[in-house]
Amino acid sequence: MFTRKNIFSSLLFIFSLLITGCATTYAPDNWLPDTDDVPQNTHGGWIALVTQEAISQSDEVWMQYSGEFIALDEDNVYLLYDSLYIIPKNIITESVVDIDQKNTGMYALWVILGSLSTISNGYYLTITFPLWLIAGIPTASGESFRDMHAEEYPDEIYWGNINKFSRFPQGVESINLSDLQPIFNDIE
Amino acid sequence: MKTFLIFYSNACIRILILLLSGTLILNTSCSGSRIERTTFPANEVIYMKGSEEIPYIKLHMNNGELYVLSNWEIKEETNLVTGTGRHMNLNREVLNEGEFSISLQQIILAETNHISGSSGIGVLATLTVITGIFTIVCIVNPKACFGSCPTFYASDGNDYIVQSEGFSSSILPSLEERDVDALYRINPVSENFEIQLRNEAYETHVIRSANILALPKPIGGRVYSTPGGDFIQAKNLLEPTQVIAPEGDCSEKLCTFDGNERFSAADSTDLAAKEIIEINFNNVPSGEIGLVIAARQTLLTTFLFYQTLAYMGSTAGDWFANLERNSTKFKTLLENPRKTLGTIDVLIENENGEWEKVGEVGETGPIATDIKIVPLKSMSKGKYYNSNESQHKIRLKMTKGLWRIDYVALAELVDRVEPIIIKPSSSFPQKINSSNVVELLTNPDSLLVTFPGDRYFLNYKLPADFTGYELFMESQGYYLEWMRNEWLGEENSARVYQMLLNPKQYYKDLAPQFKKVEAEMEETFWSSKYVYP
Repeated sequence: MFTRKNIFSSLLFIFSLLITGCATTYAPDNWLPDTDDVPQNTHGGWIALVTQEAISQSDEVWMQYSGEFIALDEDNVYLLYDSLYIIPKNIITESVVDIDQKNTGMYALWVILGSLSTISNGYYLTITFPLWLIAGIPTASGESFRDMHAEEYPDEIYWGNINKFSRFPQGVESINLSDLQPIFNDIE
Repeated sequence: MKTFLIFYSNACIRILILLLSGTLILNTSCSGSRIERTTFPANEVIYMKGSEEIPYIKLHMNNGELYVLSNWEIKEETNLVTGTGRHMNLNREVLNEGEFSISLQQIILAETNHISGSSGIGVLATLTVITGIFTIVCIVNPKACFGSCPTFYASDGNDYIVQSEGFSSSILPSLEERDVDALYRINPVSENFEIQLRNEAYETHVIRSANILALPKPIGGRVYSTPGGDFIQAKNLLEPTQVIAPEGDCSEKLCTFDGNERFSAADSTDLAAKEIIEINFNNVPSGEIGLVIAARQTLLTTFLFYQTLAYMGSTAGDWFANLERNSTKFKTLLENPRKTLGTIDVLIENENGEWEKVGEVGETGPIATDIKIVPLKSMSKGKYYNSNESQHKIRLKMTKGLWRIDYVALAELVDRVEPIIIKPSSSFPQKINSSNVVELLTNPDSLLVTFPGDRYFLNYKLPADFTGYELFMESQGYYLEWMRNEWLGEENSARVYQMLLNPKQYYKDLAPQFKKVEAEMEETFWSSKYVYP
């Protein structure tokens, strides 16, 4: 009983570290391509934007938008969900662009099972278990943050860096945006 | 040379672990990106080159259309990009598929993506390999892994050191027994005395009692337990002048109780082969004397026990159930292999010049060194031959490679004394499965059951003048060894019968097998203690 309690506590500890240390993706399930499929993927990354309080809607503290990253121009960010949203850059307080599916779940499971397997290491567990914690947890956590471009109060340098992850990195001046079809139609 | 190699390999393992740890920790901070996306404006597309690492190119058109091409090539002479792939509209619906040749003038922007390997997988794979290596150490040599019975730790002033291992030979309920071990190196600093009771092996320990025995020390002397279970006050310890073992003079190792032990390797053809150590004493006092011996077993018995369990294999439960049902008959049979290995026989030369056994000492268990006294009354009564009154010779006869002897000395016996039995007064944790730990250990009808990794702190109230008492750990119970998967492959009941009925041959047959692992057993054994994650 005492043994089970300690194993359970250890697992809970690892799990909580993994949960608190990992980034959240805003993209819908299966929207983002696997990393190896990114070179063939023809859509933009998934962008999530948080804006300042809207002046006309005083009861709203802030707004969050997310959708496929369509393009940028000098003043606006274009994203597509059930329709095209054009968000002025100057009201954006936070931006996150995600490009691919992360293996965070698999890594976390690997770390938990790996940590558990150190039970078979006898005395050497005193080395291998902390090693799993100090190297395994940052690895799983690092995977969740990998290739995720986040910025608070994004500036032009940031926008310049993430432009290449949009569907139309060439810009939208010559594109008839009214022809764009929404990527999701069913909004509950 | 072999020692050097073992030391060298251990040092290498430690350095390797340190290097790997550093590498892994640093590596985790370098896992920022796997995707390197590069875009080229129209006027720079001409300089792009395909490679195996960049198999695809995306060509963005002015109107939002897109070509995704593989096997792509830029032909400078014709200003064309050629390749195989798809042509899509701005909603990414496929318009055409196949071979394409696109003029550079049509292209607004070209894009390539280079995907690098996952360092995260490398880190986790390395960790898995490291864990696997240590697991394999125990799997390859499972009979060397830690088996301990309950271990009792007490503070020597600096650290908690193992002082006692309880009832090592009580491997079944019917073999439950009481065990007394001296806490010889412990100097309590107050009446409140703490003992740590640990289960450090893959075993279930069933403990009926764990008491401290306190016995009054004589002035300038100590109290020792005898192999028979009595307690004798003794004083004026006399260290040997010379100790001759088969390998030569080993007096230095046996003159002080300091952890520097004399031991030998087992015989390569017979694990029960004997050896003799001759001990010389000068100026032996004339009164009643006894031989003080501090010793513990090597890992030979651990190997033999685990090997026998391996031979029992999947039928181990049947064997033990049988033993429980016919405990008297089986106990007799179990005595055969035990007697063949024997204990440490104490021999004295009689008036006919023959060496006569006057006592024996030695307790099962490789962990805690126990110190005992063997009374030599006959010697002091002049029955035994001494060519020179001031010199006495004693021989120790024992199985080669079975004993680690730390200290021998002669002592003058004073009085037999009776112990004050001190039961635990409190514990931490206080309760286990809603039962009070102290009640479990003090009620003779109840038992404390512990599992691998369990640890209890037991507190005892010593007599007010505690410095005047010698302390002993008295434990009673039995333990159940856990079968290991790796042992099941060696099931062979004929071998078990051989051990019970013809142990002499059994020990001869097993000798080559033991010699293969003997050198590394100590290292593996102490490294495989069960420790909580």
